[in-house]
Amino acid sequence: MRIRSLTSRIVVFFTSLLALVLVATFVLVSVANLRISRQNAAHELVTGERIFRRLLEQQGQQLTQAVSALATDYGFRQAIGTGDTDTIASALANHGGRIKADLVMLSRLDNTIQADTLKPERVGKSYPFVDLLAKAGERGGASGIERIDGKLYQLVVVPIKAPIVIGWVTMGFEINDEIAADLKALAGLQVSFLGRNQGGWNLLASTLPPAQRIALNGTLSDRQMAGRLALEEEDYEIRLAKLADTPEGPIHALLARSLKEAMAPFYALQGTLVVLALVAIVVFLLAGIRIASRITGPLRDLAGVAERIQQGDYQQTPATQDTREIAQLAGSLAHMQTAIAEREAEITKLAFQDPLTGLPNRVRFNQLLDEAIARAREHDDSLTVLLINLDRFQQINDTLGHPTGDRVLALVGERLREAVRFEDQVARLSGDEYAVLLPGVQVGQSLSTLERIHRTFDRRFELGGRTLDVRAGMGAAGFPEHGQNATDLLRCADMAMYRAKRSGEPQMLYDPGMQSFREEHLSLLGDLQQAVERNELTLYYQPKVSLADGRADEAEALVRWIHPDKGFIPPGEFIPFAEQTGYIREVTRWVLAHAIAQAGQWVAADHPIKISVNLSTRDLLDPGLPDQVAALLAQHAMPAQYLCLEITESGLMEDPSRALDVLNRLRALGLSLAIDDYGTGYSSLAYIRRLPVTELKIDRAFVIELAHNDGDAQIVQSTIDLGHRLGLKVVAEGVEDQPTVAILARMGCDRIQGYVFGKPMPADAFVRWQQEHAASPA
Amino acid sequence: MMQGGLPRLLMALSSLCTLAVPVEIQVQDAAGKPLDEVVAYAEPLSAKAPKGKLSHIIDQVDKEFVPLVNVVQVGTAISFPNKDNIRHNIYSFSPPKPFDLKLYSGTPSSPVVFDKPGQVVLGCNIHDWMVSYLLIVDTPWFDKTDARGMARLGDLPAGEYELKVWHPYQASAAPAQKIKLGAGAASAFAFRLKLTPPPASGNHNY
Repeated sequence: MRIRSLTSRIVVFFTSLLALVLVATFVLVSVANLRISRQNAAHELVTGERIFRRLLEQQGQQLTQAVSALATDYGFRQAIGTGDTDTIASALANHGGRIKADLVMLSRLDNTIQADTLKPERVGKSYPFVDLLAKAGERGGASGIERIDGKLYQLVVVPIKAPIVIGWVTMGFEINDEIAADLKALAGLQVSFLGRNQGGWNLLASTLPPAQRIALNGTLSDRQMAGRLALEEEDYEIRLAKLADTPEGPIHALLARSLKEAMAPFYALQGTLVVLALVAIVVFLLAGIRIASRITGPLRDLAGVAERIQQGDYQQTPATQDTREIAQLAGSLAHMQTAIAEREAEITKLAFQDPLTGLPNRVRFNQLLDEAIARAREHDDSLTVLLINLDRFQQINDTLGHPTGDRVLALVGERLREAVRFEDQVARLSGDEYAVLLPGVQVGQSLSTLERIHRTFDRRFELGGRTLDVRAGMGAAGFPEHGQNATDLLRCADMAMYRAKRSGEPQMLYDPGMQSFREEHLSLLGDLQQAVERNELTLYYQPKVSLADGRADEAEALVRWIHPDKGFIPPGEFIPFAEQTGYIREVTRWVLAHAIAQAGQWVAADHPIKISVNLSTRDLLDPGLPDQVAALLAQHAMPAQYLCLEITESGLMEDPSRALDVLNRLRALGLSLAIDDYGTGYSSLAYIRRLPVTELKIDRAFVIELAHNDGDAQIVQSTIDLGHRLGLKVVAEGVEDQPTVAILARMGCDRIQGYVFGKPMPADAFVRWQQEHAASPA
Repeated sequence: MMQGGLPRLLMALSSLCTLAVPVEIQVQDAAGKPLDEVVAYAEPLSAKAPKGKLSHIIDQVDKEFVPLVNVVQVGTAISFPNKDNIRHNIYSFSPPKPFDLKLYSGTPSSPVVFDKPGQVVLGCNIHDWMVSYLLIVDTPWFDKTDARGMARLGDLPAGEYELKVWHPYQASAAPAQKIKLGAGAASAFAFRLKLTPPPASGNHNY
């Protein structure tokens, strides 16, 4: 069992607590008991001494009475009364024998010994125990302890009356081990009789075992009247009681209480306590384990539930608990489980769903695609991935605002969803990019779907009364032929879409050739750099003819690239590419340098042509541009009035304030500024009015159908009118036929650019064309 | 011898002529307190003592000898009537007259004759506390002091006597007084005596 578990902690804690209490109790009880036992032993000795003395006294009294009884025996008195020594001696022995006296003496009133059974030779000598005799004289009998020849006797002296006192009889009872044993039995103490003389102590009688007697002889000292005494590894509490003073020295009784015996009940109690404590601990341990299990069992169950929740199982029902706290916990856990499940769903949604359209996001789509690929691989099936990118969405966002842009994105999502089958997946990958997964569809069969999607964009988008025409480019790639994983498939679809947009097609299926095309693009960058450096680029000029006087004294410079190996590369191939890579600035610089140089030549030749040059978005954000332009003008001694820079609406949107700053500085140089492709963006004339522009170029889209489309005609007419009102020159692009020229002329358009007058052509060809045009009737 | 002829004659005359010389003896203790029951007797030095009354009675009443102190002339027969309703024994180990009367009741048929002078202590061997002291004197002139410590020796013929007192409890014997009785001679004498009564012993109720 680990100590970290709650059960163990509870059990260990409480059991330890109990053990601690028990140990403390045990120690306290033991200390107290030990002290009490000691005190008891000492007290027992005090009491024992009293009892002992009383016993000795009683024994003396009993003996005195016994001897008195003997002394009053008539026959005895008669024998004494005869005065015959032998008779007296035999009577003394006889009567002494009756009460087992060890010695009998008879003394006269004049204190001379008349008879002595122990020492007959003392007859006639003076009686030795005069103190005792005196006491007997006072009390009619006395007893005392005396030493005779190294033995201890209890002597009893009583008078012999006939009927008055005629002499004294002394009887002696030896105090030996037997007597000591009797006293021990009564007093409950070890009894030793000690005599003291000049030589020290001497043991007269004792109840101690022989070995301890020897030890006692060795350890005795006169200082010790009470206290502890160790004899042969046995501890005694002792007490020394003086019993008598004899001519040979005092007699003491050494009373000893065996501590082992005194402590026996205490040790018994201690044993009981230990057993009790062990039983209590065992009971406590078992009870503790049981109680702790009842607490921790449900906790373990709940921990198991929590663990399974952690593993993502949110469908558990914690077992009902009988304890309120645990039940609360279980309830909380159940709620937590629900909350976690909900939150996880929410998080999953956020993580895998595009909040704007409600469609799966890129991450989710990749997952779905991976799964679909895995399934298709398993079932030897195929699938198709479509990638859809909206055209000019950035412009929508910029000109109509993000809320509108978001609405468009959402609507596109809805339309895509409607356009595909139920089992197909539509996702928004990023910005204006969508993807569609068509499981079980070969890429070759996906054309119908692509067509269906394409048609959904035919319907215009109604947004708050505004109608928007949104177009999209689409690419398709298929498993297993185009790629083995999601990344490859998406890349292929992306390439196809890119190709479609580039080529103006609404959709395109992936073709392995595109891969090389893409690679071509990469080499193109290097080639473009080379082209700029080696002057492989050429400027073509397309005339901008004045409708007022028919003059062609303005032209738009357009860059052309003649690749040494690939031949002519259309601007649509490399300009967007240069814009993407940022290389457009080099291209623009090259174009400006050469156009200004050409215009300078023409000015110098007294044949000035006003040249228009296109600026890209990036150029507009380059604060160094005005200085470069100024430098080029100065270098080629070209008056600024013969230069016009064309910008697109969208170019202004990226960073309007910065772009405006660049425009103002350019305008300050004295050159003209034109808005290119006007009408395709969403900028209003009110906005244009704030720009330092001098010219509007109406987008060719409005011009091509002008003759047949009243709507376009109205737009063009009003644009021209408004442009004029704002003091702007209005130019129409992409004009291909004379009727259109006529209409534009009637509308008051200032200049016209288009095939109807001339294609873009090299500088010398332009000069020739201009001469021919000037010669032709207007 | 010649020089003493006249007084001897005079004394003889006076003894013939003046018959009665009463002798009074007072016995006190050291503190002057009169002592009773002290035996006082006069032993004639000049003549042989005549025989007096030679009978005496010592009763046994209520488990006691009565009286405690007795004095008799040598040759007196003492009877020991037992007035109790229990039997008594009477014994004596005293040298003048050791004897032992077996347990009896009533009056023994023959009294005990004490024919030697001296002290005799009488006891009863079944009642240890019973004791009686008897002084046997060789003179008929004796008496015991009364409560006032006075003893009277009756009429003594004039002559020389040795006057003695005795009590069983006496610590030591008082010195005898030699007296000469006759006309005009003193007839009152005083003794001082120290008594040490024996410790009370026994229980009379047994």
